Amino acid sequence: MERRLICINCPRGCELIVETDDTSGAFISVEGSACIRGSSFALAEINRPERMMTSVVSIKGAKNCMLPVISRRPLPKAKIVEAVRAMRAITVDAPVHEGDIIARDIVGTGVDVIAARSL
Amino acid sequence: MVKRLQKLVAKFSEASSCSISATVREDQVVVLEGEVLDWTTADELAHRVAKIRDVRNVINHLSCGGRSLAYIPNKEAIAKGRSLGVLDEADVIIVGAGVIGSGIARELSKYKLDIVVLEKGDDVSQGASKANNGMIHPGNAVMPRTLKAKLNVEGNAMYGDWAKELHFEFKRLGTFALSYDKHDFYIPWLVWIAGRLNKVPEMRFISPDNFLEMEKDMHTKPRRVLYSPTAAYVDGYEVTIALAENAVMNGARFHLSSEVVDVDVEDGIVKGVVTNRGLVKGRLVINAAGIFADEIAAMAGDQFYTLHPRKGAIAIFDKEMKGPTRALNGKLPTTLRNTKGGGVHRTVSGNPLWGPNAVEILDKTDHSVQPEDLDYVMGSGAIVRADMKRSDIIACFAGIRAADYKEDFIIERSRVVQGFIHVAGIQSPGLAAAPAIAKMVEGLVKEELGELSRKDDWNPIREKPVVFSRLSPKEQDRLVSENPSYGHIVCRCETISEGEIVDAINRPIPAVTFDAIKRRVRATMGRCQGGFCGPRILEIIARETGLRPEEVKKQGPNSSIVVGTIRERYEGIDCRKTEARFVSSMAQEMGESDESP
Amino acid sequence: MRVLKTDIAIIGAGPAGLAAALEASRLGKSVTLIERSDDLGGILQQCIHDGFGLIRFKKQLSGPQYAERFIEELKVSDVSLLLDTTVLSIEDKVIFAVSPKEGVLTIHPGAIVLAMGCRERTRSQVEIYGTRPSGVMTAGTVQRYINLEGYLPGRRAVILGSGDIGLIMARRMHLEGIEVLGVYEVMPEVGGLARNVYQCLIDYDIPLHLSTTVTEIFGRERLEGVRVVKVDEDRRPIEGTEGIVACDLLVLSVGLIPENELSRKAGVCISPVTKGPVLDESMMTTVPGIFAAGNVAIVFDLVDYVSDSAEAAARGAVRYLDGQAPATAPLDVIAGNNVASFLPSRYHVDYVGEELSFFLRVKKMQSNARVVLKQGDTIIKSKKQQVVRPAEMVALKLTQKDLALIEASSPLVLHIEA
Repeated sequence: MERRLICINCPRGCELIVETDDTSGAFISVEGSACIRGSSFALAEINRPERMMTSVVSIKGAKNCMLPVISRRPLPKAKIVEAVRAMRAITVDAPVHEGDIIARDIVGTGVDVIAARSL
Repeated sequence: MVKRLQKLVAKFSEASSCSISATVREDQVVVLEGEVLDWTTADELAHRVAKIRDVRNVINHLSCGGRSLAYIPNKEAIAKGRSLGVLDEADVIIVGAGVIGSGIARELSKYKLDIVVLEKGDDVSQGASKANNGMIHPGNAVMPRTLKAKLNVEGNAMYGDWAKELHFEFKRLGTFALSYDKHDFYIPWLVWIAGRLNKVPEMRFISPDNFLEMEKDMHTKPRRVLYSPTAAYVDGYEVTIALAENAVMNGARFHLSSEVVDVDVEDGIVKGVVTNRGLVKGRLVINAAGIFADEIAAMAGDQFYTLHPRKGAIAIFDKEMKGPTRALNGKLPTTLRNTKGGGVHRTVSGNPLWGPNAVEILDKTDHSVQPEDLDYVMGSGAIVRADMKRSDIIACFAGIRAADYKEDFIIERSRVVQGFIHVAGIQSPGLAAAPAIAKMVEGLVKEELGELSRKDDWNPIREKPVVFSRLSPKEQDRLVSENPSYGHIVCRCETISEGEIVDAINRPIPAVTFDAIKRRVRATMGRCQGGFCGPRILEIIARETGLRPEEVKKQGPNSSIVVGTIRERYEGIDCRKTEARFVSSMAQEMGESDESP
Repeated sequence: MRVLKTDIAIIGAGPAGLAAALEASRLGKSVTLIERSDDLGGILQQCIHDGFGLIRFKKQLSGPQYAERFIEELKVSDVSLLLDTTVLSIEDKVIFAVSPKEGVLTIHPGAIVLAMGCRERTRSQVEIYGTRPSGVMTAGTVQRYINLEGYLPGRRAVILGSGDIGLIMARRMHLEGIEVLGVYEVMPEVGGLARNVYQCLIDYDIPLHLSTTVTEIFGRERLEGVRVVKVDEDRRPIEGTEGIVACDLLVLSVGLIPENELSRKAGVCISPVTKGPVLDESMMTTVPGIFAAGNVAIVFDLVDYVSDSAEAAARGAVRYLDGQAPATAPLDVIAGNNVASFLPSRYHVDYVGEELSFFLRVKKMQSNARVVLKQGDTIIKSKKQQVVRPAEMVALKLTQKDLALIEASSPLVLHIEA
């Protein structure tokens, strides 16, 4: 089976044509990638799609009331909505430094969420 | 009269294959009833009937597609209002806080009278007073021998004093009536003749070269130019606010968001009104309710006119756009007719303004702008500037003219109810006539209440709020040192400081909505249309008023800017301590001085 | 009134201003960075999504993270910072600014770098009729409300325009529980990057309606709905395709315009093509000593280019202060086939800087394209590109060897060949 994807690794947005096994759905080949990252993206996208999670949490005692956060590495795509929802319950106290861990092992993914800026 | 009326009605019934009936009341008021297929028919018929000799006015109860202009009492609202008890008591109750109601309030505040103004909007100047082209007409574009013409010319002459006392922006720049060829040669002459009959001062024909000299952006040379130097320009909203603020300073009470739903009359004598917020007792009701004045009259049991909404759309352009500074009258299809269509000029703040057009509608609250409205507006402007495009428009809006079918002002004491004064049908040039209307109503009030005694401490002066961007750098610097919030620029398109916004919120008529702030200080009116400053203004309003952010409105009770919060919000501590941390040390190194160069 | 002197004054501390300040400071000049808000990083602070910095840092950072790298460096630099300070005007290269703490400041710089960024096109610049209720706002404003202020701007949203901010906000709103009913784009192709369609719309099943637009707004007080209609190739509504979508939020993502209020006040010429100032290869405007950086110059698609352009402007300003600015009359650069906007629009043959990038945006999509810089019949530089799209900026990098080919004769032409 053929699947068309768009690589999200850079602004170029290569259109990838992925061939998968008709019965098992397993990855066979990929075309259309301008660089190596395209094929690894395609492989992941077929087997276990992942995305970075970015959101905000409440912060107390800073000049702003929201602190932007980002997952340290990509999360399973299916967990993004749940992860963003989990951010709603979090409040941190200023000062916070960029890279500080805001939440560990978010929604059971094993991925930490860190502050995207200092506040 | 009856014969002519029957003939006319028969003709219209036949032509439009509708059944229309007309009855003549004892007071020579004609009531039209029935059903029409198309509102233009109803409108035209009512206007034709109004022209018949001895017809006092027309009540149009014709319906079109199930809708009509007939007043239907809101029984639920009346019952609710009554149940709320007494909201206030006064000698004089003014219904409507437009330029007319506010002007009357301010005029009457000279006297030892208890004055209450009831306004259904959440700010003053919510109707035609805010949505017009701001022109103080000289009085030569109105039908001679009308009350309109008389009050227009008188009002125009009184504006200078108003501006001096109330400190609103006022530019007496004049206006031109132009002709270019044999097809429009008559325009300046018509205007001149009307002006002579209406006693408009200082009109004169000037040379086309002289005109081009005065209007440097105009390149086509007209053949004939009539100059009327008494024409002036204001912002109707600013005038209204100034009047209302001055009235409040002198003791008048303004109740906003207070809609009159009934008028209490006992044995032919006014006792007060019912509002959505409770009863207001009083012995004199002045009906200055704009487009809704016919409904207020009906509530009092003295409706003898229907006000038919006539919508006009106006387009505002970027200040950078070139174009004439004064209004130009020429080749405009509506000159001297019922509908004073507008032309092209500049607002007092310098933005080119085109329009309005004129469309009869059935819905008094329909302020929408449709493509065909802008077709007209752009077409009329193209006479002077063909290169302006729709995409150059930075804002467009529509206003509703409160016209009756006689197309004249109705300013009189009720003939059937004691203590009720009609100030209705105030359409263009109502803004220009406003000072004269206020004076005239003052006279009617004296007739109604007897001689009034003046207050000793009446203060006619309303100080102008601070406009930071207009000050010299030295004045700006002094102001900021007195109050640092003037140094915090919130709206960068129009250079408006936080201090000015806080001032607007805390003035005698508090501005607590986005639109109220916008019209007072011009924030959000610039090129970004509030994209940058909107969130800041929301914060300032919430902070100053104690409202929750979702309670801050644009305009009207259901117009929240945001609908809630996504997270719990914690207000930050003030982190601005470090803002200029390098300035002092750097300034020393660089050899700063405290004096300006 | 306080009077300050500085070598280089930079107006705006967004990505352009930060990069320009650091570069000028590295080159040994005294720098004053003026910022109207109380925060550094400009619009990056509300762009909490990732995807920034791939070229510069070889990483996909979020906006605040990208800004943080510059802010950290700024903290240990000699750059003087004026926060909460708004520039009121620039007259004869003298800057008048105001801040709550300092009052009115008069700043006398040797050179100025304009780095005010860009602003969003608003409702009035797209033809939408109807009423003026609350609930109609630009994508950037929605972004600010949600990401910086923590407010919910509405519950059921329609997005007009498929620019990147619109796509990003579609996803962001969806994740915050706002029902996103669809993205409507008047053009037959998407305005933003393909990857954003993929990861913002397709990931969350948000419908995209191409060749469809919003023509009318309903609602007296709060937005109640919009009229949508399909359009033909000339963007005229097709009768019988109208529909009404009930919503309480209309998000406009209909393009960006360089912010040049101050530039005009300072007397610089604005190009009708880029809508930014007329600039030479050093990012100098038509007023000697006044430079432009980042989105003030042209709306870039990537922040990396914004930083690059700002550093180029800073280097230009330093050369100007050191008396090394070109002395010859500049050659004009002209837009040829399928070039919508470009940078620079003037070039000095006695330019002494290092390599130089020409940036351009195309009018319409073109496959197997060749981007060419020509002078007369001489091809100065050309580059093959599989596909060029209006949404993406094309950079044409010229080495010193390439630049040496340019003669002091006829104008340069940038165009796209098949």
